[in-house]
Parts: sequence; structure tokens; C-alpha cells
Amino acid sequence: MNNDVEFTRTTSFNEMLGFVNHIEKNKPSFHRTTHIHFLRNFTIEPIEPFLKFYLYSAHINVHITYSDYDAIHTEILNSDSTLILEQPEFVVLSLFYHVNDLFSHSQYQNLSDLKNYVITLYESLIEKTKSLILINTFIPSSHGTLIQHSADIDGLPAVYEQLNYFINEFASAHASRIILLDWNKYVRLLSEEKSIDHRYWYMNKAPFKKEFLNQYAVDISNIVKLVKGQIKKCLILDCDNTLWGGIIGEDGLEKIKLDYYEYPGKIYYDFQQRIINLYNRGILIVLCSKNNAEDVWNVLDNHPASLLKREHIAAHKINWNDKATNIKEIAEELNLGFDSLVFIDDSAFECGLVSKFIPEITVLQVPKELYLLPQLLLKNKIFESLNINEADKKRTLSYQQEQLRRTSAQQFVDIEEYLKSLNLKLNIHIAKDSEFARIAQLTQKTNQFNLSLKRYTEKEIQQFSQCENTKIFSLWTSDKFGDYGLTGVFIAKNNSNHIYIDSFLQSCRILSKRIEYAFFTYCFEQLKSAWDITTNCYTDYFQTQRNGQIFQFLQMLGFRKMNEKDNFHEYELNQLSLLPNFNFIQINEGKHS
Amino acid sequence: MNCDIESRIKKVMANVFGVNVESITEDDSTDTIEKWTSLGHMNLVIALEEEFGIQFNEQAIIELISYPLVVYTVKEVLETEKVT
Repeated sequence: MNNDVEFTRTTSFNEMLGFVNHIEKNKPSFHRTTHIHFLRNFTIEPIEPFLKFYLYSAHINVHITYSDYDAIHTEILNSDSTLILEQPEFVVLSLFYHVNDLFSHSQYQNLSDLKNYVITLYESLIEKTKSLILINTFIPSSHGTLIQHSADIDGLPAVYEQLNYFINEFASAHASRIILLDWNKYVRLLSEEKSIDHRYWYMNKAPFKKEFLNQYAVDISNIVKLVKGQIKKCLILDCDNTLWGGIIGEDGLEKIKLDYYEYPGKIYYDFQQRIINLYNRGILIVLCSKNNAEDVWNVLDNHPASLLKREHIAAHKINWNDKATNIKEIAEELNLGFDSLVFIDDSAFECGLVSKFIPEITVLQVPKELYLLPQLLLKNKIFESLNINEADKKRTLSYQQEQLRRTSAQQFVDIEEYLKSLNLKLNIHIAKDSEFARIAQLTQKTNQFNLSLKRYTEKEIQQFSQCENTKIFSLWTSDKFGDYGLTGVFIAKNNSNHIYIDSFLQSCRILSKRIEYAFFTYCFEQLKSAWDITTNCYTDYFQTQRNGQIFQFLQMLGFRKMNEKDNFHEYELNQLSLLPNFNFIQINEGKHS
Repeated sequence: MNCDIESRIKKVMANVFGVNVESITEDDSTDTIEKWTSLGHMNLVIALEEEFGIQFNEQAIIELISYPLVVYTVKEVLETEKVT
């Protein structure tokens, strides 16, 4: 059931309810959980099955709460409200004004009153909560009067447009805290008839039809997925009839359809353009094709309209093996989890095969209506991200170097000999302001070698850095093949003379090189002398299917399990064990050049 | 045919209220099914409208408060739509 192909279009409301009931009865253990709190002035509860459907499908458990009707102010002002007390991860502020209510409400006599009202609301939410706040635009009636009368709100869609423009400006200026969901986009997509339910509005104060609620839930759940770190990192592409029309092995370079102007080649050209955009954002591009390798490279190297070039490709499997096996090998080579992969192919057979054997992967088939191909990824909201930073862009380079490293790994029998030959260099220092964005990103993206799986925002990291009893170390790594950048984070707190390890994580790019031992030992010694603590140290290991390496790591260090509750394991360290040799790793302190 | 409508209604109700299809009887109403709250009621209306491709008017919505009334109302709406 967790296959994206089957879910994308046609799931009915009844099927969604069935799925949600099934999940809630069987209570599978999703390791991600979130809390969404609705602040609203109407009945938004019918959105719940939709929202749960999309989040459960993404293996995210969700706790949904609602403010009382029109109790937004009391929630904000009362220190014991759900909003303030529980600090939900997401606050969805849903404001709806039926045309008849917009200005008849005594509070707002005109547009600027209403502007002031909503802005004050947004600002106080920013101030009083730490939540990510989702707001909405206002929907004008499409049944306005023909001639516009200034006294008649029905005739003044421009009023709504002004208001929406203003909200949009505000949201962009506060992008780290506020996300604007455009309700008018749903209405454009669905028509007003399929969006607004006047019947239910008057009966239950529930103005939206299920199609509209569905769109709203899709947007909200996509944002949750972005924040909860279900981030796609790699795009695996078939070649024939995916990157170009026709079959290169049969049609040859001249006859395949790929063109910057003519139909249908232009469709593939535009699709390649989208792929290049993803490459520029740091997504890894991989080829997986049943073909002769030289034919495929011939297109990338020599076809005048092929935007995609050899240097864009982080890895490739161009052979006649089955694609599931190929993709498994790719994931291993690039050290990526299956759920961070996206696979596109024109063949239903290949799509089916891959999603059968690798259910975690997102599979998209080239649409039968070929003109929809360029929008394929945008429409499915894949590879969206809240923030891009420089490290992303360098990633492909770094993965290409990883392939080089692997080739040389085969020439050594003794792993230690090999590691020595890498000339590993670490630079470890207290995290600097300029590193906070990357550190937050690492906490959000790292799933494999991540002790507590605590996800932080840039702002939270900054707050930690100002805290006297908290220390954040950042780790920079390089070796003879190149620079890996900021790839490790260690966050520790001094809890009444105990070192509490809040977070310890390393990017998967630098695993199995004994760097973790060097990094841990170094930080640990620093903390002991800074805080004058002998060895008293403890931590919470959050166990998931993917971070099993952490378990081994804790055991190697000499941590012992003290307590266990659900997936939380409390570990304590009294004596650091003798570790595998890592003295071939050179450690520098201070500023990274 | 009628029997088919009833089993489809039971299936919808089971989905909406999170109960077993077999457990729904003639005696069931807003009083006996825990999740048949005002919100459950809204979901029921949406789900029935989707299942049968119909639209209830306000009066019909208000009357949907027990299993027999749901069956009666759905059949009535289906009949009316056939005629028009």
C-alpha cells in the first residue's frame, strides 16, 4: 500500500477513510510524529481524514488538535492553551470569511481594519510560538456584480486581491516562520462549484467541499513532509523514451526525438531542463537504462539538444540487468536510503518491478499524455525543499569523488592500510554563525548515522549557541580526493555535572572511515575539560530501522543501556572503551579555511 | 439491487465510523454508534454522496440519523434522480 504510484490520482474519500481506519487499528510504529494545531474561525475538522491519509501514507504519525471556534485570541493570550502549552510543531491558521460576513462583522469596517487584524494575528503567533505557521489567502466570490459598486463587497474582488497581495508580502518577509497556502489556487484548479459548499456553510459553518479539503491537505502534508526530513536526494532516470523520444540503440543519434523547438522533441528538452534545475539544487542525477553504455554517452556527449551532459551524472547503471538490482546497487554506492530515491521510467513493467522489490522508493511513470512530462516532478511536489544552501550544490562533485575512492578501495586488502592512505583530515570547532543553516539541515536530513534524530531549525541552533551550558561542535572533513565540507555535528549539554549528548550525527558521505571515533573522542575530551566533568555522560538513542549503526557505535564506545521506552533508549557511559585505531586521522582545531 | 444498495451503505458507514460491516444493524443510529457525532455525520454525508454520485438537500441531511433512515433517504434520492 505504500507505493506512490498507486496513490497519486484516484484515491476516493471512502478509500482514504478505509486506509486511515486500517492504520489506526493496527498502529504501526512510524518513527516520525508531528502535532498540527488548527486555529480557525470555521469548521475545518472534515479535513482530518485527508490529512491523516497523506501523512500516514508517508509513515508520519500525526496528532491533530483544534482551537475552539473564534477563540484564536484567547488561545494566543492564555498561557495554558494548547497553542502555548503544547507548542505544536505546526500551526495552521485557517481564516475564512464568507462574502456576507467579511465587513458586516462589526470589528472591521474596511479593508485596512482587516489588514491590521490579520497582521497583528500573524505577528503575535510568531512571537508567542515556535511553530511553523501556515496561513491562507482569501477567496473572492466569482459571482460578483457586473458593474462594480464601491458599497457592495460582492462587486469588489479587487479588495480581496489587495488583501491577498498584502498577506503575500508579509509571508515572504517572514519566510522562516510563515508559509502562505493559496486557497485561490485550489479554486482555480477545481472551480468554485467544486470548492465552496454553501449548503454546509449555512448548516455547519463548514464552507469547503471535499475536493478543496483534499487540495488543502495535500499542501499541508507536503510541508510537514519537508520539515520532517522525508527529503528526496536522488533522481534515477531511464533513458529511451524518458530523456528522449525513441530508442537510441535502434534509431541512432539523428533520429531520436530531442529538440529545443519541434514537437515532440521539445517536450523531452523541457524535461531535461527541469532535471538540470534539480542538479543545480544539489539533487543527484543517476542513469539506469537497459542499453549499450556507449550509445547513451553518445547522446549526452554529442547530441546538440541534450542539456544533460556527462558531468551531471553522479552514478550510472547502463546494462541489461534488472532495474531493481541496479537501483539497490546505486543506493549502496551512493550510501542513500531507498526512501530518498525517485525513479522515472516510461515502462509500466519496469515501474512495477522496481516498486514491487523496493517499496520505499518513489516511482513515477512517464505520462501517456507526453505533454505532461515536464511538469511531472513539480506536480507531484517531489524535490521541493524549504531551504537550499551551498553544500547541496557541491554534493554531486563529492559523490563522484566517492566513486573514485571506491575504485581504489578494491586495491587494498587491509582496511586500515587503505584508510591511512586517504590522508583524512578533520577540522573540529565550536559552531559558527555561518554554519547554523548547514547544521540545521544536517539534523533534518541525516537518518542513518544520527543518535537522537532530533530535527532542528536554524533558529533553534542559534539559540543553543547562545546557551552557556550547551556546546555545538561542527566537523569538517577532507581527504586526498577532495573536500566533504561540514559533515558532522555534536551537540552536548551540561546537565548538573553530567554530559548529556543531545545530538551526534555524521553525514553518510563520511561513514566507515573511523571518523566517528575521532570526532566523538575529541569533542568528549573538550567537554570534560571545559566543564570539569570526569566521565559522567548519558544520552538518548532513538532507535529506527535505519540508524542501527548507532547501536554498534554506542557499544564500541562502552555505553550501557539503562532504560528503554518505546524507541527511546537511555544510555550511560562510565568508562570509554578501547577503540579501533584512528591515529592516522589528522585533527585540526579552530577556524576552517 | 436494493440489497446491493444496503451493503454499499453498510460499507460506507463502516469506513466512516471505523466499525465492522457485520456489526451494523437496523437498530443503529446516532445514539448507538460512538463516532456518529456531528463531525462523523458530515463525513458520512460526503462519503455517501461520493459512493452513490448523489447530492442530498438540507432536509435529507438532517434526516440521516439512523441506519434505516440512511437506507430510506439514499433510495429516495436515487429514485428522484432516475425520474428527472
